[in-house]
Amino acid sequence: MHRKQSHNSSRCRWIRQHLPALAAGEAAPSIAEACQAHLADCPECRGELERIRVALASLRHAPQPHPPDAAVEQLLASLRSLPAPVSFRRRLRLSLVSAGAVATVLVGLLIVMVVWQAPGPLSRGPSLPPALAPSRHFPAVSPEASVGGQGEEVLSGVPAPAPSAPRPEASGKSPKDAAPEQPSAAGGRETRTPSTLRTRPSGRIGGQPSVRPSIRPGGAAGPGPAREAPPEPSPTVPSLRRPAPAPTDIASKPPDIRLHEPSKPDRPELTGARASRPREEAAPARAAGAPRPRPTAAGRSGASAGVGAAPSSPAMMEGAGRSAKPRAEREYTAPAGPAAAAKAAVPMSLPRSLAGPGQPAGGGGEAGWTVSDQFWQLRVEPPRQVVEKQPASVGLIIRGRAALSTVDAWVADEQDRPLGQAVRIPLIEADQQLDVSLSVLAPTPGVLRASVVVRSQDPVWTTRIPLTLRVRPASQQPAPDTIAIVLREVPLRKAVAMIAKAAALEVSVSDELADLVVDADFSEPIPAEAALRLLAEQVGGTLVAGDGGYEIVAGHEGEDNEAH
Amino acid sequence: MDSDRHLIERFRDGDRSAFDHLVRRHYGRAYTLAYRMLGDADLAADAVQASFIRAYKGLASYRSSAAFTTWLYRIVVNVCLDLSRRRGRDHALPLTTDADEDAPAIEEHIADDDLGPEETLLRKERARAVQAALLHLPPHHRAVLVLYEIQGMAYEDIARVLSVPVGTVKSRLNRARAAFAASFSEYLELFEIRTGQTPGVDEDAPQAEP
Repeated sequence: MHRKQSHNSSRCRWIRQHLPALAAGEAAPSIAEACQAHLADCPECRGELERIRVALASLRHAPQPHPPDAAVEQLLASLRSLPAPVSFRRRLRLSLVSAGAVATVLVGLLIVMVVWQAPGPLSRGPSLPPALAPSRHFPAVSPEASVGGQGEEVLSGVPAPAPSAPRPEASGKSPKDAAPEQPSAAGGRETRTPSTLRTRPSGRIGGQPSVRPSIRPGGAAGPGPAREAPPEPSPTVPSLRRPAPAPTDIASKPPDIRLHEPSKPDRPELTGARASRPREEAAPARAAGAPRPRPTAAGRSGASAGVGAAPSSPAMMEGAGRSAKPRAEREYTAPAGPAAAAKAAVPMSLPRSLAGPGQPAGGGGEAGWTVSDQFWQLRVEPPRQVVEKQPASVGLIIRGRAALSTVDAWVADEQDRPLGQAVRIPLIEADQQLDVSLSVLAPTPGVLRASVVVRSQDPVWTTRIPLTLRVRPASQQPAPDTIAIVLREVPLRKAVAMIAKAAALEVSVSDELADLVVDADFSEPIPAEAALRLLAEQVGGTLVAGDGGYEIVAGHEGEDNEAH
Repeated sequence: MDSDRHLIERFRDGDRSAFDHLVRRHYGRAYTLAYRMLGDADLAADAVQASFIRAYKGLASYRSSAAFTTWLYRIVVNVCLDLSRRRGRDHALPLTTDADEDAPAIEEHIADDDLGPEETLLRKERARAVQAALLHLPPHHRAVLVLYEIQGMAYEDIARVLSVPVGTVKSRLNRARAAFAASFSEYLELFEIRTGQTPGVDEDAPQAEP
């Protein structure tokens, strides 16, 4: 979006988010009115509106593509070659009779899947099992393709998602129960801290990353070095007053969302130089990170060949034939810290890299945590300290491994109530890195156990990174950097006490100096430490930094802090 | 003509030809959807074929509360998303590959019209820019945009097709429109340059790059 720099005013930015609807003639009247007023004055936004209008008109009036001539007849012919579909009633009976058999197959499938998943995303790489035996560019769906597959179609009514290993419980159920919308509890398989490996069948998403076909006419679009997004502006006061929604609610809906525009992943430039280069350029950037799922075959001709050749073990082949690649919404909670991680069992169906806890990065207590899975690498940097009822910000670095769209991130407490506004990132491209700042508002002082929740809608994936925050009561303000105070003939003890209080410092004064009178004009703000040093000098003493505070002592012992 | 529902009933009662009617009736729209999703004529035909075969096998258990098209498009979209994923980033350079090869699917159609050569050229460019810009969108956004703007479906139906809340459909649509518009104008400029057209030849042409 090369005109981004022209979003010079916040007004423009506000208007522009409504321009698509306005161009489509679907903006609410009040918004349309507000836009019109602005558009009258702003040629840039007018131009943008016109651009969208033209684009939408072109889209709507784009000529209809013509299917290849023989396509319909070919399809009809291949339909005739299929056996007659079993009638509904017979099929129902059949599925009841064979429920046991199906269950057995699914359990078998589960085992295959677990074995297959265990090696983690890297080894999985390109050999994701195709859902069904491949034909030209896509799997042929022949009736004998699958026992499980056929069962699934009976079960769901919508043949899209095949049953995947993480939901074996579907097998024993009646057709209706297994409808794709049904969430399933992964029965007691997980042993992680605050909940959750939830696998929820989802009609549209695979556990496999959706790698978005992207055209990149400009070489510069290559992921190459990570693109840094400008850090999110300091969060506004989050909406803690809202009654906390029920956990399920949260699962489907993050709290108030702010839009975080990633550094526009769109092609930065559209020069004539189009190439596939970016892909190769992406490699070094990736190498630094952990494994990432790789898309399959290269080139169109390669696509079919690649799919055919992909499954490299018989087990996988079988699994593939039966139907499944994992299609389930998953949620992963990183164990809270290395100790917890050691205890936590590795959920079987998660890739191994997920099982690893965040690695403490720096080494200090406040070091961030990094969690990796096949969709992203997340690094969380909790604030050193959180003050009660004052928004603090948690740093979150998201590095996408695959294209992810509509990513929401927020901080939630142990009950899964949001502790701050969610940030929404419309799109993260593979290998794109984003810095996000999440607001967190602690209701009470003490230790706050929270987690950073990052969720993408496409592919559906949620990761939780637990963090523990120390919350100070609001009265203990963090020390301001500077103080401004005027002291007229005040005993040192009192002067120091005032400064110490203002700056939230522990300062003691040796008795022999305490009653000496000081006179100082710090009406220009000055660092508290400097003020104390100056006061100490007035009385011929020295400011000494001890553990946890300062002391003003007589004489010039210790370092002579450039005072004289 | 029989309604979809009636045809489905007949099919369930064992009349296989009823399904043929359904195919003939809905093939074109399903193909448009697949073509717009995939940007490749052959691939689209394959996807539609796979979708109808799945529908054929699943129709017995199809719950008739939703329209047949909703269900069919859902299958088509799923097949296309699947294909998009599989093709992944290694493929899908419509600008240099597919778009050129597959252009005839659309361009012949354009040439049929009674237009001057320049207008024909312009329309071709536009058609190609449309497809290129569509392919530039993330698949789920593309799906929403195509279902809404080209297939003319209602939010609620799209929500059903994609199994997402209506609100998600709306927000995706908004973003998809903006992203599409940005890509579209850039592709249009690019194609104009490639074909030697002067940018800004008509009022629709976007401004030159800053």
